[in-house]
Amino acid sequence: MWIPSSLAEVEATIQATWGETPDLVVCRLNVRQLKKDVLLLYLDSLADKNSINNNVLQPLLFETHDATNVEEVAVLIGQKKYTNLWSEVETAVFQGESVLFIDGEQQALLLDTQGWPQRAIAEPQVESSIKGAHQGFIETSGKNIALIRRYLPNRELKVKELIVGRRGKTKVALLYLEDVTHPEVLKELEDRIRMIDVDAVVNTGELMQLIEDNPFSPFPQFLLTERPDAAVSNLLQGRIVVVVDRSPSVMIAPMSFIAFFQTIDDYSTRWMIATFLRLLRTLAFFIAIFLPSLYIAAISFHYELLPLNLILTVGESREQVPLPPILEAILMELAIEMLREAGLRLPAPIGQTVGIVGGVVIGQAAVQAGLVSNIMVVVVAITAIGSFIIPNPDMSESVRLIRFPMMIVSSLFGVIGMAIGLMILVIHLACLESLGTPFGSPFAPVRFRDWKDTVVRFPLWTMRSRPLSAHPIQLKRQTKTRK
Amino acid sequence: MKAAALLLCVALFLSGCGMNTKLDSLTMTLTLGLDTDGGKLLSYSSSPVFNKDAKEHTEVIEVNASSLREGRYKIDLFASGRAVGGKIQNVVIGKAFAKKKEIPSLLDVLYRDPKNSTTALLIVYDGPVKELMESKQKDKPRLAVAIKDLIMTTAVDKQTVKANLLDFHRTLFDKGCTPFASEMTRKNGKMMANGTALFDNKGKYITSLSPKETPFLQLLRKEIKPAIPFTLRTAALTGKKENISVSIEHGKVRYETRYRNGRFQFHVQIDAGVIITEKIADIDISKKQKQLEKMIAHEIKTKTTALVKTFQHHHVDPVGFGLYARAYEYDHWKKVENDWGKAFAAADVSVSVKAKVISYGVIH
Repeated sequence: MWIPSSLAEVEATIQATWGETPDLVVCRLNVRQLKKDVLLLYLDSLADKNSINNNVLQPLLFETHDATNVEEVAVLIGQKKYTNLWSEVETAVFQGESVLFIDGEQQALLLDTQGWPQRAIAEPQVESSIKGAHQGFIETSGKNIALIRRYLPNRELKVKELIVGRRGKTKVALLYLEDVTHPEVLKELEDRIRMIDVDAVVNTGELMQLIEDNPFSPFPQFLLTERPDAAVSNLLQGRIVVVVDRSPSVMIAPMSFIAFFQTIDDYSTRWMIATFLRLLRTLAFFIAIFLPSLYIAAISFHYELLPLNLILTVGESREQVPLPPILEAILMELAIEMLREAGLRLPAPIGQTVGIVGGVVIGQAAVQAGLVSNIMVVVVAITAIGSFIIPNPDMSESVRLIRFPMMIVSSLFGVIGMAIGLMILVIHLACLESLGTPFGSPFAPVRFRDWKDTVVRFPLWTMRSRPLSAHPIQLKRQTKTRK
Repeated sequence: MKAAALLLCVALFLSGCGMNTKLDSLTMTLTLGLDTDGGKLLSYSSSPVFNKDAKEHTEVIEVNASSLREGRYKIDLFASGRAVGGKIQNVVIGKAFAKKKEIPSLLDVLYRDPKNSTTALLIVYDGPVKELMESKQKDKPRLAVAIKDLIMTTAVDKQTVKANLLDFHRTLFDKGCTPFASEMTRKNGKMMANGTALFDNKGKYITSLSPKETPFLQLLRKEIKPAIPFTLRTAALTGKKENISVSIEHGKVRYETRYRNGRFQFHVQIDAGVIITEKIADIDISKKQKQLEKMIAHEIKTKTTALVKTFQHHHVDPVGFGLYARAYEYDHWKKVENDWGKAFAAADVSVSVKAKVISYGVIH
């Protein structure tokens, strides 16, 4: 539908298009110098009133002299667009732009006066860091792209914008380094996003689930982060950053398993400490998955595994416990999961209360009542801490989930069950793909050169090439600067 | 893939892995006792009890059986849980019993059934085993832990040896040496480690070494680390009944083996570096260093020579002279390997010792 030329018709069309929209402002003005009526249309709630008053209305009324068409109207807005399509007017108004119609003109002027409610850039809440930047992504994609651009003032950083969702019309921006990212990987991601046909994508997490390789895997195949520095670090490895408008976390694809255990702090601390922390995380990963099942296996099948003094301690601490080890363990693990979930959703002051009540009830009362053993409490606590050490929340949750099937197999088959569970896990991880690239890289397939940045972290100057996991087309990252 | 996973799950149930051994329902024999009473074989089991209602935390069961496995079935009749031997820490054998019977055939089940522990200590008890098994010592932990701790720590100080079932089996099986085990007894109601029990090559108890002789057995076996402490009288040097305590910190023990005139000849050369740990005797050690060293060397020589004489007298070879004979004089060894104890008894063994004082301690 074309934009009608007479303002009366425009007004009628507006009436037809926006029926029940109290925040719609239709402002008809008479511009004396122009000797014409103009009509300004915007959504009060999404537009910046200051900008409209100072940059649109004021110049329009006092500085326009003898403009004859739309192009000559004076407004102090840098980004202005012309359109003669009504559908574009509609979209623009919903994006917070204001539209200027001039009587007798077929074209309308779209002015960038966006000013919707948004919060200030703040410290990332979920992924805090000691040495990393204290700026986190917010809900406006433009700002988020700006945060990334600040790190990479480089023309190779490309932004590809797509619109997702029939109603939501969410802006999804793909950021990548053109000379590093493999074009096929980029095309795969772009195709998958284009295939999405949904009402709206409210969050990056939703987008991730719509396009991930294996939705039946317990493991996340893409990384969600709210840290610009982490996003940039991944961009430099040839990965693609997907910024979704209205969502404070960005998605990074393709991803490898081991990258979920790395934090930005690893690169800003010295390599020995970073290596130690990474080994600690690897250990924590295994503890979080296997410790409760090992306890169950040892108590129910392989009492020979425990040294004499430990077996006496365990036996003594279990002497009052009426439950078999598997029930004892599941009871405690569920209790701790409930505590965690309760603490997460509650406002901070009440959340603390939950922690105290839960801690006292589980730590003290349950043991004194003889429901669970001391050793079990220690096992559950270490397991919980182990799962919290994993820096990525998605991976941490996956690990917590895998623990339960592991506990069940170990209660049925002991250590043999655990071994089979581990094998299935390894096979699954080796088979998993992220955007068609191997998820297990650099362990499956084995790429020894990339082991420098896995469970250990070599000094930065030794990591001269980009890891192969995202198939970068430009491998060289830096030259040899030190012996 | 899915079919394979399913098959795997089913196969797991088939293999018998489903049979579990819950800690709560086990009667874990931690100390196994063997003794005789007028020709009957008595088997004892001491196991921990995990129950808050039980007054005693150790359960001792005595049964009369012809073998250990049969004994276990009988123990099962008494025990509140399933009797298992996976955590046996000590196997205590009455001395009277060990004298009469060759024990290896009785211990067979401990080696043959893989669920049994073969790292249990083998201990010969001088006295009725019943008395040890039923003893309650208020100042000691559970019996099994107390016995094990006693032997392990005493063995570090070389006053007894540490021999588990595997060691016993190996030394029994090897024709070049004979087995030994630690020995303990009770004195004034308290248990104590009491040197070393020596067995012949059939596994029958022969004789014992006292806690004072055991360090020199360990020296001959080259088990010097961390140190071999002993105390000697200094009468030869000062003319008075006084003491000096030394400890062999490092040393070299070399064996020279020959075959001459129809018998084996062994020469043992010991180079010992000793430190003085205590000096009661009034000796000016800075002046009389040479004499002191000589005296220490003499003491070591006397003790080791006497020890070897004892071995030869009883036709046992816990040191393993036979290993050297086999290594250096294989042809001659081959002829006597089945009766090495006798051949060893006829052998000439000479010992020469060089001692060097490497430290006089912190004060002079």
